Amino acid sequence: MADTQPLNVDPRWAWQRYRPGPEAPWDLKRVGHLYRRATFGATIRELEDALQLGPDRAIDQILQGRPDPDGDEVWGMVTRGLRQFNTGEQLPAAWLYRMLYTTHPLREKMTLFWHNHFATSNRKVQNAGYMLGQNDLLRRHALGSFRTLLQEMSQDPAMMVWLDTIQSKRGQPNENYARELMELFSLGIQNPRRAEQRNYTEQDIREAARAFTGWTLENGRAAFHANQHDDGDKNVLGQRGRFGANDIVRICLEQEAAPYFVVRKLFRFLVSETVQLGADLLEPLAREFRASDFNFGKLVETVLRSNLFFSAQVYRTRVKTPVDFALGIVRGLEGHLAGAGNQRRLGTTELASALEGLGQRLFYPPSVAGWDMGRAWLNGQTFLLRQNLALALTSTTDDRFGRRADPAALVRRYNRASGPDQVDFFLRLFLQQDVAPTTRERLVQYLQTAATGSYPFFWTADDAADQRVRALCHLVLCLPEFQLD
Amino acid sequence: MRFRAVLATLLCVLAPGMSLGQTRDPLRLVPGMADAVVKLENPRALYDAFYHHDVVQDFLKIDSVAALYDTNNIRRALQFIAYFEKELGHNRLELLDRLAGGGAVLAVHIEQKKVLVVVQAKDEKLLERFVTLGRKIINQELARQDAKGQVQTRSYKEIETLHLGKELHAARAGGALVFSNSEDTLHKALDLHKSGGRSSLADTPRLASMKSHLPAQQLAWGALNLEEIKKIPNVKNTLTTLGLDPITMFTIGGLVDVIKRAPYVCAGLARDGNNLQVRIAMPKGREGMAPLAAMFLPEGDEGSLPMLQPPRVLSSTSYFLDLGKFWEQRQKILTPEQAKTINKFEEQTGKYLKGIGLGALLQQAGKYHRVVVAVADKSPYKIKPTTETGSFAVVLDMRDPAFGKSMGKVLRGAALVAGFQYGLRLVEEKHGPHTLVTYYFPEKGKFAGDDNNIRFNFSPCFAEVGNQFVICSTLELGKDIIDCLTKETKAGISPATQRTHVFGSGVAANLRSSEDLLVSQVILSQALPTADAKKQFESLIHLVERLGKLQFETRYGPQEFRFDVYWNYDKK
Repeated sequence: MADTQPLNVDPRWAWQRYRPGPEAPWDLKRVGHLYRRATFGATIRELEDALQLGPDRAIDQILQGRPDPDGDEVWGMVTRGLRQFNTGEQLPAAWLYRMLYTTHPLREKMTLFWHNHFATSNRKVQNAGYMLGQNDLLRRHALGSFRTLLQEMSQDPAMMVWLDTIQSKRGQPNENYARELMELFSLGIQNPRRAEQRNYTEQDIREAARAFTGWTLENGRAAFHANQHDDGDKNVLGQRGRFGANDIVRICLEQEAAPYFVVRKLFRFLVSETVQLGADLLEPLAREFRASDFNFGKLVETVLRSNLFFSAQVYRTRVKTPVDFALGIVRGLEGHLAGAGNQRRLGTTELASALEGLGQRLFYPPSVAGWDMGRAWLNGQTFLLRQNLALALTSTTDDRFGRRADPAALVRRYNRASGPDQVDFFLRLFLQQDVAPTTRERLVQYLQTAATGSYPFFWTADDAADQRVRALCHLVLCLPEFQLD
Repeated sequence: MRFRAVLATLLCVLAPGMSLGQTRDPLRLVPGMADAVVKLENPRALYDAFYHHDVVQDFLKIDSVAALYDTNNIRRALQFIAYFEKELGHNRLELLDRLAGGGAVLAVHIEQKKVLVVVQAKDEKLLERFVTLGRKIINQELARQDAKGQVQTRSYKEIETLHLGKELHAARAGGALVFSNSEDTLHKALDLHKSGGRSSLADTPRLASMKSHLPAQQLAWGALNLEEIKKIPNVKNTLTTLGLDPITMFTIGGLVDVIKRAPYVCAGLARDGNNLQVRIAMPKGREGMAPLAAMFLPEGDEGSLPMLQPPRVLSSTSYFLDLGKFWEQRQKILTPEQAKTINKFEEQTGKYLKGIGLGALLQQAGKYHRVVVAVADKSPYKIKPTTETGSFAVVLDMRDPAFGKSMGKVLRGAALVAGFQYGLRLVEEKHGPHTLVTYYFPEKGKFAGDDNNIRFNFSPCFAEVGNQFVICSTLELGKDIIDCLTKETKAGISPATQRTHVFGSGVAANLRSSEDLLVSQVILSQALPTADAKKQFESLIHLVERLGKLQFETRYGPQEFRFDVYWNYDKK
């Protein structure tokens, strides 16, 4: 992944629909790219099916997802238990479970996007029910109206605790929510077209804060107390009136910066973390976003179907988040599918705990600005922990995961018996064969050398062969390329 | 290094099981100076006691537990054992009997950090083959892993000794396999082998004394030389501190006093059918105890009142603690500084407790106390709390009937304050001839800081029943406790000064109140479909219900302290 680079492309071409051609064929590389960015990784069958379907139908499938009544029932049961006993420590495992087993991964992926956008931590909220309520709110509007999401977020109990709206009273307005609404949720600090110009002033924040007074929580729901609300005239972002909370959200969305701010964030999330973005490139998207009255699902569709999304300029220009890294391995190894020989599916309690070590504890982002993302995910320690997690998942001897994501069972399932076949299988599954030829050669050599090694005296020949396959898979997952999205 | 782990694993597998005919006692090879010793008298019986226990078998049948035993690590461990079965020509249980059937001992000299393990075989020839095979495998494994060195062979008094690095030394002494982390200790064991065990641990009078305190037919037992342990500065300081701290004095003061005087502590595990017993004992008791003894020990045999067992009981505790005696003897028991503080505290409390001093209250109170925890069932409230908690009761006997009046005043005073703050409603209601004074939370209006309605788990109440004063967290339990007290007889009185019973049925009922959470945990950890997760939850509940009763008892004899744990398994 290169450092930040300027992107010299025609903005009109960038967001036009991608059509496969000789220079940009619909190949496994692009299928893998789509599944990594828009979902949490894919099985070999999913990749090959999508290759057959072509880009339009493959993207249709991802956008539509499938109904999931069983998943909804499990989610209801799990969240009821967590709410009842306020067990915040199990929140990450619960959501990770939904991400792994969902039949609409794009919705979960975008819910994760919004979780990082409206970053709220249970460290302060201390209420699993409120956090799950916010999570459901994000999911409900993950591919819906940003306007509605932003309106409802102002009265979300977890957000009201997190940014102190519940303490905001007439005469003593708390500025936290008003500040973050402008800085982090809707506008950003700098104007997208005129960098020297700020989008709002401290006075705007002070005035807007008065509009959020009077809201408190009663029996776990937002309740408005008119006697605590500052009903006086306010002057916010150039408009004057006796504004309430919804008026401030409306005024924010009327600003020129609002669509640019969200589009830029989505670009970083779905397209690239490294390329430098000019306002010109974003303008077509920002215009479309405003014209659709902030229809976020439509925006996501435009991005996923675009030339730029499938272009070489943005390929492998994101670092996998810990969630993407772990779920990508599990889904690739089909740990989420009940297999032959009573193979059990993988739970997420231990996985969530491992992700905490990698720096991503869902429901507990580090600050109101969310996770830093990008290169911040990788350092000496976290890279080592990624290798350890990959080993734990693939070795079958780590009792946290057992044989639930067994590479040896997978190659048997797909009849890959020879060493080179097995190397190609894992490279195709996890990296769509897109590695330097020397990498492949070294992996084949590894298998040849390992076959001549000795093994514990009580092992069978099959034990030794399986062990080599697991070690091979681990090596593939430790390649630098696999750390990129 | 890896091989050592393999060898250690093999020993762990083999050690816990042996017992057939008469063999020589492995203790004959343990030097008398050992500070700590653990012996598996009958390893095969120990294996049977646990592995073939109905509960363990039921536990292993639970799907998720079975999954735990279906890992590659377990498979490889079984392959490892199977290799030895094949090479030595016996199945694993036969190997256990033949190679370790005479018992196994672990002995430690704490100060010198020396460890000795003796495993007594019944089949000396097989042991010889096992050692030869073991040595061959170790050398193979060391070579495979490119480890430095091989097993070294030396000789000590015409006995072949084996050495791996500086910390693993072994030898076969006739039918016994001996290991140590010190060559010198190994030599001492071999000296004892040559001398026929004279001045070994088996030869000391202390051994007979220790075993006299333990239940008969032990499966395993252990002992710790307290005289040596108490020389360790940290232990010495801790015991002194514990003796002075008022909280530990009230809770474990008697035990601390016994530990200070006892030369050793021993423990044994015994089995009677499906029931198991663990006893911890020390050869010192009430004789020679410090002045605080009067606080913990009754003058006669009435150590604790009958166990209260209302419906849905989870745990029941009955104990002796004479706080009146404490008050009388506080100048002797406490340090001058502590005595001064508590006297001052009494002066202060008199002002708040409606003129009733703490000393008067403690002297009016009786010597016997009971605490009950139960699972709540019926609630007097329409509003259900989000999280249901259990209910509890404290029952105090009254030396002086004035105690009831005094406590009543204190509780009503406290409730009056709470009533102003939280709007508590007082209701006096009859249960048979007894009056229950109950407080209810209002169901209308706001209650700051309790979004989950936890308060509706409580309807605190108190009542007098004969010479017993009852305080309960719920009206329902209050009525149940009154029913228990009116029916109880002297038959349930025990010389044990502290007894606790924990009931599997109560624990199961309590778990059932957390069904959603527990099923969720099964789903999240094992990714089972909801129906399967619920089925597993039901299996777990059924198992816990069948666990029966776990009993803890403390007794102080004239020259003996005993703490017993009994597990009475319910076969239903």
